[in-house]
Amino acid sequence: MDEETAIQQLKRGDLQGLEFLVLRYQIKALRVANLITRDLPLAEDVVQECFLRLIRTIHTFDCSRPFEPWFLRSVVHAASRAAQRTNRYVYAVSEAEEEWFETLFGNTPSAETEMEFSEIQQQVLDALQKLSPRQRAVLVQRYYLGWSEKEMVAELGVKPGTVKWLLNAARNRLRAILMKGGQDER
Amino acid sequence: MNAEEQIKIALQAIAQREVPETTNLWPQIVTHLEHPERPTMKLMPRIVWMMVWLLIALALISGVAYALYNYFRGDAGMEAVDQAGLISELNITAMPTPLPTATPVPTPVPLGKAQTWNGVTITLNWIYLTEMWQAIGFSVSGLSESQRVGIPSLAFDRIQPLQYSGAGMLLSPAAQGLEGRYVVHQIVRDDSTMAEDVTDVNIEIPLLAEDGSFLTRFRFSAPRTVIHQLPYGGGNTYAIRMNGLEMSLEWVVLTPTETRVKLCYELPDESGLKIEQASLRSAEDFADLLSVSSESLQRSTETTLEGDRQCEVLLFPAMAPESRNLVLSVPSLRGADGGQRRGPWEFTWSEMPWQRTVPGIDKVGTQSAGEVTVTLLQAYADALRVAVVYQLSGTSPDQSASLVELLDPQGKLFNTSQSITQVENDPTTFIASLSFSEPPTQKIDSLSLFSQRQPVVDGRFVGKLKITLNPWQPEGSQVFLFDLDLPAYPPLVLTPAQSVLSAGLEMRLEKLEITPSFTNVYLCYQKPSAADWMPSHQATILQIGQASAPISDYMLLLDEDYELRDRPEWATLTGKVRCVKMGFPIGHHARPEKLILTLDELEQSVPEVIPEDQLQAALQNLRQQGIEMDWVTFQGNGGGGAGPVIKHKPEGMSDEEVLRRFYQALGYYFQATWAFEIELAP
Repeated sequence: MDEETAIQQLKRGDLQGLEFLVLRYQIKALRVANLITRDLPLAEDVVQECFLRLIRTIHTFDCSRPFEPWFLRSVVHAASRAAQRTNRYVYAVSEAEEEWFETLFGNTPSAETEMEFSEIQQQVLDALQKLSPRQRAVLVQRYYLGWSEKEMVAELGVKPGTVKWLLNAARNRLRAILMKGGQDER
Repeated sequence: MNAEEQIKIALQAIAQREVPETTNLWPQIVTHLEHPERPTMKLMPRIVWMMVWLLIALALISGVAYALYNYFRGDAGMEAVDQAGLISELNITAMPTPLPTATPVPTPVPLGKAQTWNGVTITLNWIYLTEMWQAIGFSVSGLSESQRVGIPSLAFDRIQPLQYSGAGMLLSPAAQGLEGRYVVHQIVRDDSTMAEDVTDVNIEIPLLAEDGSFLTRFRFSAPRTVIHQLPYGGGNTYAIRMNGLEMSLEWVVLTPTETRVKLCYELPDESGLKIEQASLRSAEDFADLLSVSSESLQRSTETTLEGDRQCEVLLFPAMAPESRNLVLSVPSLRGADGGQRRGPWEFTWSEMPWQRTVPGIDKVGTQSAGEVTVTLLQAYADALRVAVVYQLSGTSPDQSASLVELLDPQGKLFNTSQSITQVENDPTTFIASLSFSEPPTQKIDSLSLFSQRQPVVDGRFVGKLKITLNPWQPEGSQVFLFDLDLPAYPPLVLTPAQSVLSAGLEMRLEKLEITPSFTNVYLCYQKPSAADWMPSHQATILQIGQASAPISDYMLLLDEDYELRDRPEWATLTGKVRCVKMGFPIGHHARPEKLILTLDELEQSVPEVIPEDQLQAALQNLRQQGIEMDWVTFQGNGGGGAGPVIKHKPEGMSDEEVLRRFYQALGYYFQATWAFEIELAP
């Protein structure tokens, strides 16, 4: 079975089509949701929810367009909402936390020379934890899913300036941290 | 390696480490599908929500709240069978049918736990949890004028609430202090304990100073609280995206002295934007909202940043205690530098906290089981539809929203399209028309609920009629069951295979099923493009003799573009075609007469999301015609949708015409005429 056939099957209500799509996209969807929610059980709920919702929304999908970005858009959106709902009051970063961001990598040597890459991962992971769900979502769209800012504008339905603002707000923290090693960054 | 590359690689590594390739969600999804009583996105609330919006839109557009009919007036098919004497006089009455014991009326958990801090006592009286909304009741005494009760929070053991969609709190005067009720709309479900939905709940009720700062938090616990599963219909707007900016109504608090609302919105790229004006209208009846004057914003008391959203708490005068509906409108955001983001963002609430009935706490009006009676006055059946006339007594007509269904003798549902109309000058009497559709072949909609039987066997319809009053309020709904055994008139079946070519597209009238009250038309046609082209509901008319009717049912049967490849045996038009079944509420009159089917247009269905570039081009096209409108998407606690907001139109132009021009600009119409004529000789 190919993807197009699966989508058409699902449009007819045949759950074999859904099974195909779940098996093909569940890992990527779950990773996206997990990066945004930072809560694997919640991410699993979100992704299940998105697949189940597909049953009722697949008829709106235009088969002439690629399925993956269409579906992952809903995952990003649902994960952001779920994370916001469950952590609504925790992501206003306090002054102390800002300081923590600034100093986190301040004493860190260059990643390529002395730091084990796993440490960078851990620090990115810790930093992710401190971002708002929306900021995590734009980072995931831009850097994990590899969407261009133009694609993000189209997917989010907002002005280019808004995407830039969101990306900058999220990226500045991580970039400031990672640039401490003196690496070139645009 | 630059920083962005490091982020990319780190994200990839984190994602792979935390979610291994061996993860498989399919078994859990199958479990959900096999328990259709526990769907994650309930279809019914969405339908109800959309119906509410449709009714609101109709009321607003037409200014007419109700359309009343005599028995069968306006239904040419039923008028004809009535005149022909084919309707059975029944005059059967029924008292409410007891609900199955499997769905006992759930009751709240009484608590009566009190805590005191500096002379202020809060007693948590009860808690009631459902999957879709949760409520607590409490009383407050000893509150000084400079203190107020903040928004409570509920935390659940092992459960992360999902899809928060607004909350409401009502504080009303009581013998000693205030009585409080808080209702929050969010999904609370414990998938780990499928058999027993219980959870420990920790409740916090904050006490605030006048400036909003926390004085203390009253903490309560409610161990082993049942999460009830109830049908649910939402009635409140939660979020609206307008002009690319989403705003949400997070909560509403009503007290004897003030109304507070919290609104949050994405921080737009324009800096310093804030809510400049807002208005609040409230009324007992929704229709009255159109005439009441609005309360203007007194002040914005707090502005906070919550992540990437800015939130404002707005203060309004107290609402009248009998208010059951409100409309909150924010026309625009304005920045200190004069920049502006235009709305309006308009939130409608038709479900205030005290309207969410809690069984055992609230009395359900006058609808005690012994008072309401339904009398079935008349019934008619043929192979294509059943129509009944029924009368209610012992209940207020405005509480008589009904769901009418047909069941087979085993109690399984026949798949039908229903319409219910109220009889003119007799608000207690209703006509329900139910036309049969094929049972769902899909496994996704609770296949086991639907009967696979033919509704008419050996010239009779034998089954049950189920009338449910207030179906969306389980604690207030009442079910009436009637056994039906009616003569059912067979259909006249014709296969004319008559073709008409127009605008280069061939259309073929393949088959007709005609009873005395209803006609099914089976049509195949070539489409202008691969899109979802269907006969226009406005421009497709079936005429039989002197009677005519527009489409009442539509079903897509064959279209390769939609992977519907099972060609019906009656389809003779070859090539890449679409075949559909259309229902019309008129039938034959048992005499020779002419049947004329006229289609003047094909139309495309409107997608849930109109691509932004197409939308902007269409709006620009409308501007050149002197029309200013927006296409707004919204989300409520019962689902979401989209719709137009017309800001300016040429004088004398109706809203329907504006919408038509909008769809025209989107290219959703294809005009050509196909007309078919058949001589009937039943």
